[in-house]
Amino acid sequence: MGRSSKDKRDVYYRLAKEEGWRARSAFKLLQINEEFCIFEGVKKAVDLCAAPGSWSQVLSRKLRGQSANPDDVKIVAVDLQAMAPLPGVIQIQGDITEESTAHQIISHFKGEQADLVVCDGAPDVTGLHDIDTYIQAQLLVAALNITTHVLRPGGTFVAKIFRGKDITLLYSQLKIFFPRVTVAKPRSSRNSSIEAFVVCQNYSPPEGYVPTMANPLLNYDCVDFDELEGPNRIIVPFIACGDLSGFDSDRTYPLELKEGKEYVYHPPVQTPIDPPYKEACELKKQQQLAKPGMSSGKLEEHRFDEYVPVPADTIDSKAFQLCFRSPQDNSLISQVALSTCDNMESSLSRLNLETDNSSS
Amino acid sequence: MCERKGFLVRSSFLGTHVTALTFHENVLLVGEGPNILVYENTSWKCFYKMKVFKAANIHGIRNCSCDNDFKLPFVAVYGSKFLSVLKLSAEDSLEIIQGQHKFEDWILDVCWLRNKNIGSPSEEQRFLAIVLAHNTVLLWNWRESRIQHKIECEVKCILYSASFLGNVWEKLILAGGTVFKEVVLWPPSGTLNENKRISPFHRLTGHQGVIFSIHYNHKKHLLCSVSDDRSIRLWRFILSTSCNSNIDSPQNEFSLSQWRSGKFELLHTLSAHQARVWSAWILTSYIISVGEDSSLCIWDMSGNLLRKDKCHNGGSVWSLTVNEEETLAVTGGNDSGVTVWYLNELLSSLQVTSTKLPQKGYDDFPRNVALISSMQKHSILVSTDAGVLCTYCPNTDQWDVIHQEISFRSYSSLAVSSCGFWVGWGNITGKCLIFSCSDEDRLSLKKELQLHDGKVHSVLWVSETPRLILTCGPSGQLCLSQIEKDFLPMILYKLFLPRCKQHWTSAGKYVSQFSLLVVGSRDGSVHVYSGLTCMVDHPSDSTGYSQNPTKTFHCIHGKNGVTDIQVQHDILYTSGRDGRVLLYKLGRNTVTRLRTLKTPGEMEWIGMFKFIGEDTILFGFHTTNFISWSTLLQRPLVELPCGGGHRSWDVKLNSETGEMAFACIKKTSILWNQSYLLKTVQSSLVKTSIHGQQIYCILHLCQVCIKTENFNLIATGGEDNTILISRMSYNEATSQANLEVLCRLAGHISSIRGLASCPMTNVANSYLLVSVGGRAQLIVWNLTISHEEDVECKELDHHFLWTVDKPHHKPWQNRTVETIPDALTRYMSVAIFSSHKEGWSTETTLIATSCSDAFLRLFAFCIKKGKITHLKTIPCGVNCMQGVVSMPTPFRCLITTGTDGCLKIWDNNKFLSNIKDSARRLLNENSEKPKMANVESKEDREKINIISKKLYSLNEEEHEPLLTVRLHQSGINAISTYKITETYLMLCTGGDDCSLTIQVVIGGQGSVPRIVSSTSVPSAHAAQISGVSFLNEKYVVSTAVDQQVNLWKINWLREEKTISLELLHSKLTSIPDASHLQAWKYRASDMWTICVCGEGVEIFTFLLTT
Repeated sequence: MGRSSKDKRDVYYRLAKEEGWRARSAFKLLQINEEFCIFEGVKKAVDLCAAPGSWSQVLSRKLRGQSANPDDVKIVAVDLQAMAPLPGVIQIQGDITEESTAHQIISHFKGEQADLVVCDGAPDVTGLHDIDTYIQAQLLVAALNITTHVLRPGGTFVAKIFRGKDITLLYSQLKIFFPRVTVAKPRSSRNSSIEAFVVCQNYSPPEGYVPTMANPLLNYDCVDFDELEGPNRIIVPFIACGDLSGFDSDRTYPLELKEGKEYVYHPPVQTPIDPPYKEACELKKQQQLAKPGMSSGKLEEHRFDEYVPVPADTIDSKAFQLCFRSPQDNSLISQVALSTCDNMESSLSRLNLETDNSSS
Repeated sequence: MCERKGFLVRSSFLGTHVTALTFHENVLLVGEGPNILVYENTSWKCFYKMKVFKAANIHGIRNCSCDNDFKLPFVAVYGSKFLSVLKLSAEDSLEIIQGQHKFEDWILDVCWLRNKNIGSPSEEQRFLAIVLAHNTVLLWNWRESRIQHKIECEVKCILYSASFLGNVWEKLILAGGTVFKEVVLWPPSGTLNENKRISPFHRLTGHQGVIFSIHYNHKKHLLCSVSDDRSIRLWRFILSTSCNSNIDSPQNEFSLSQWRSGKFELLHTLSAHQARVWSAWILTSYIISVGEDSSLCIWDMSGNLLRKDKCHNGGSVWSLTVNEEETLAVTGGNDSGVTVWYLNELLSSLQVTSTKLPQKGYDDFPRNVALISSMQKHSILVSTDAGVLCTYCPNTDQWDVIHQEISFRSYSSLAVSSCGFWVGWGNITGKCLIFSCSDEDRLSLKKELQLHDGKVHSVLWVSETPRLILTCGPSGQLCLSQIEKDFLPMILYKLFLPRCKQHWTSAGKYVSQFSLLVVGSRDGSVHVYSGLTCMVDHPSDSTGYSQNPTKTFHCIHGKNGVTDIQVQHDILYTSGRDGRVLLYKLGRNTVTRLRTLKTPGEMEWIGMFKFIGEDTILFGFHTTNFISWSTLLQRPLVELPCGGGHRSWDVKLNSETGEMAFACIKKTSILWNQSYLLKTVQSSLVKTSIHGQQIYCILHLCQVCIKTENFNLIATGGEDNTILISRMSYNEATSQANLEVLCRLAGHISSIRGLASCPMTNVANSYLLVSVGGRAQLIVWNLTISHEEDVECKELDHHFLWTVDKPHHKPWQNRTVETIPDALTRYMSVAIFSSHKEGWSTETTLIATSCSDAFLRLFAFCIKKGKITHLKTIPCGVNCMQGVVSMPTPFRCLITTGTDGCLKIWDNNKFLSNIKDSARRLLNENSEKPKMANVESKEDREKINIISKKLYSLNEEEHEPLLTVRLHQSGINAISTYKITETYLMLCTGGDDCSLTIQVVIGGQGSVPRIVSSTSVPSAHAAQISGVSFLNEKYVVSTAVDQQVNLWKINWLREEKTISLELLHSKLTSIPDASHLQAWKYRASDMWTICVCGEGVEIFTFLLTT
């Protein structure tokens, strides 16, 4: 596949690069705003799970753009992963399900409250839907928990959800805090995708509700699993947002979007910083991934004399590494991994051969 | 099961992710969705099945075997927030002792505790330690269902994995894998800090991603963690010097203070997986790991990778367990399959042995090798450069010279018959020597033949009874000779091999049943010579090699040649160096091409194959490795480094002993390997694999009665580019259904999105199947149910929108597939439709596909010619098309749906009105296929752009739909039609906006369809609806990503023109991400089969009761 193939498959991916957004998800927030006008009068906003930063970018451009004095606008962005800096955005690196991160965010809003909290966070999906939706729900719960600390009454909360089998339970929890909960699906979100967004408006916590970090905010126990079967108790309206005549994320477009407009390749605005697979890909590139029958490319040398002896029966008699050191300067001449004691002799003879070769 | 209001819905079959596996005594417990299945551990027969959870999947099974001195028959089963305790009774059934107790949070691990302070063994087992996802540990008295303690760790965050170390509460350590790349170890029974929480003892850092599982081997004090960063880290626990001699516990358990003062040292970082690693186990001398890249890796303790095997049909390997003796490993995957790995057999065959010819003063080296078997012994037969034929017995390390002749110097051609007793040896002068193993177990020369007047290019044993040898001389002269016990050779036929670049045969097979000789040549062609009976009294005229093949499959295996030809029953198989195995049907004097066998993509060269039981084992090469691959298990059995396929090599697999011998030449040495695969070949399969990845579409092909048995044929297709043809059987006594995979159809290069079928008009029980998918690919298949209840599948034609079908002479130079814009168009759905316009014969099938580039494309398939022709491209607006369905006759309309929520009805006849001249000509000529230039320069690129623009609008024609109606806010994901009368039709749609609509359309012969009644249920489901299907005019069933299967009652009043939907029942399905649903009536009774597919398949039966 050529480098333009992704541009052909996904028009919003391409538009995001052309318009300078860090990710295609920027359009999702823009389209939600078109429908719900969530940016109206917003001065202070929190972006949870912000990386790579497209939503922060939207907030930064839109809020600072509509404000008379851009410096009045305060945007706090939080993510587990590192993120390239953005104008007017305060960054915190941490996990939002962790208490300490929550405290850190709250500390930025000492005495003040946010008008808008957004969360586009999603876990790296494993492929097991129950785990994925659980983790996604936990992210949402953590985001909601932080929201209850920082959002002003009447404020708006927008978050990504996975519409799995427990989704009605989640709706019921959101309904406790927001009288108006809507499920929105922007046109830029693919039809085939499990994701949707909840737009929760007019924050009004139950009377006497005191936000706390210590107790689990939401407990699901009020809904019994037996009720999973049967008609939906909680009905949340669905709204598809975005212009129907606009771009369709499921459609395949020709590279020449308009007559006479030549296609120009744009590189991604922001490539991932330190993804988990970075090292593994690097190893693969250098052909350092282990292959059967070859010694592992990444064996680290371990000198057993440095170890404290372990109880006798725990010593691994079958996994030894022999290190041959030069008698003069103690430098390592050769190292042999012995998988079983049985082949020690053959390994030794092989080693002889190798050292002979190197000397000659 | 649910019985109310006069109907009954029950789940009859489930095939989905296998997420938990555990050995317990002599059984294997398998967790698939909410079900637990019990298998006997030698025969691998499933003898018990039970649904443990109502609305959760099983994620772990923990048995109660704290120690060897006592084991109790209890197992704890957990998944999501639920936990059940089951008892395995003597009758080999499971009994629920403590049923689905719900905890406040997700359960990650459970541990049976052994409590020192309590006396009798039965008393001891009262407590379970449970770890929840927010790093909380519960001490739970399961007998009384009471939480004794709840302890939280100071590090409060979501854990992705956790594992208990030890089984005594006072010494218990929890290792938790956090999202921020650490393994945190803490003692749940430790002292609380000022925040009433427990501080961790150790934090293991180094992983670059989320930790997915942790395994600890308490005998070796080794811990391994696996991660998102695709690595496995092996850590060793070392006691601190101050307290190393104080291990008093008989279980080798450390005290908390020892745990605290010791340290973890990283031993190895193991990287071989190409995607995330899900699980790893530390055994006494090995480490086994499985992952998302559908591979299983076995490592030794020094961190060397010993084996890497692909399994589970390209899906994730979710679960792994090893038995106590460490002889068996079992894996469960995305594909609903469970596989056993016999570790001894796997590790028996890792090394190849190297031997050299005994040197006798001059430089001789081996030219050819082959394997012969004589009296239970394998020997390697070697012909050398000096013209010596000798045998080498690896067991005794003994060389024997059989024959020596100067005319066999520097060139000779060697072949051993498949039984291993007969040898043919040809030379450059046209001579061929025949040897066989005599009674005293030694190969000896039996006959000398002068067959050709030049070089013998190849010698092939093409048949056992009668014993036939095929030799190929210069300029395509083929000589078929019979050799029997009396060694009076008889040349039966002299044949001519059509001219090609390297003019000789590379494979051959004689089929006496049909008097056919099939030969493969070096240019990849397969030639058939028919009418060759062996009852000839006298040899054919010796004048010339004139007989030409009666049929030729030209270059069918590409430019590198055909490698092997075999016959099983009446099916012929050919393999080639293009990495494919092709199937043909043999008949009287006829050979018809059927289809491609699903072979591993990673095997680039197939050299030989062998049938063993139900399995077909392929032998071939990938880069520098020799591979033997099982088509039944869909994975390699043995992988040996040998330097690649360009060498003389041979392999023999004994089906009775499972012994496989391989020999090849590398430089001047002979490499040799012997492995044992008996158990691997015979009983590796515990549970059959379905699709490795998500299923997008399901199609009920037919329900026919054969031998009083109801025969339901189902086709499924999905992300793994394969179509599965399965047979569904239903046991009315147990009300359980079963799916048996009959055939895996390969050919699609991208995911399969849509299937459609129609019966063949001229053949009974024969169907045309059309499949469409990504990269704008369309394939037409033919399925015929034979009397043996087997299904014969045949690929008739395939069509790409943007490329040339014909194989290129220089395919490496052609990059048009990649560079043409819109080669990425996806076909979203397909329908077969009819037209009553004159001039369209019944021989032509009309096909409509909805495309992701907002077009509807029409094709015609001519059965007689077996050709697909593209007729028209119809623009359908600005949005991606989703579904296309054909209205039942007499409506003659097509319905399309799109992501804009619009439904459009089109007139079939209008489509075909002005096709008469242009397309009819296309149908007849088939000359319209666009030719592409090579894209090398900028000018070429421009040229391509012009061509592609033309293609983009190839036969484009504007059409107005008869009716456009917006039913949903966003995409219409599901549609179903039902004909009520000749003029009334019901239409049901399900959308991305969670709503369900139903329309009554009036139309039929001649009149423009219009909607007379309509209704919509806004929140019919909690998530996008992905499947709807009518049962009849009274019931419709729908499913969605919220995992509900909803049954709706339709109340339609024809006179009042009103229609409404009433939800009768909701049933939870265990299939996540449901993508399609189909329902059909079971026989004539009031029973329907409802099949839901997505990440797996679930079959429900719906029964109307009175």
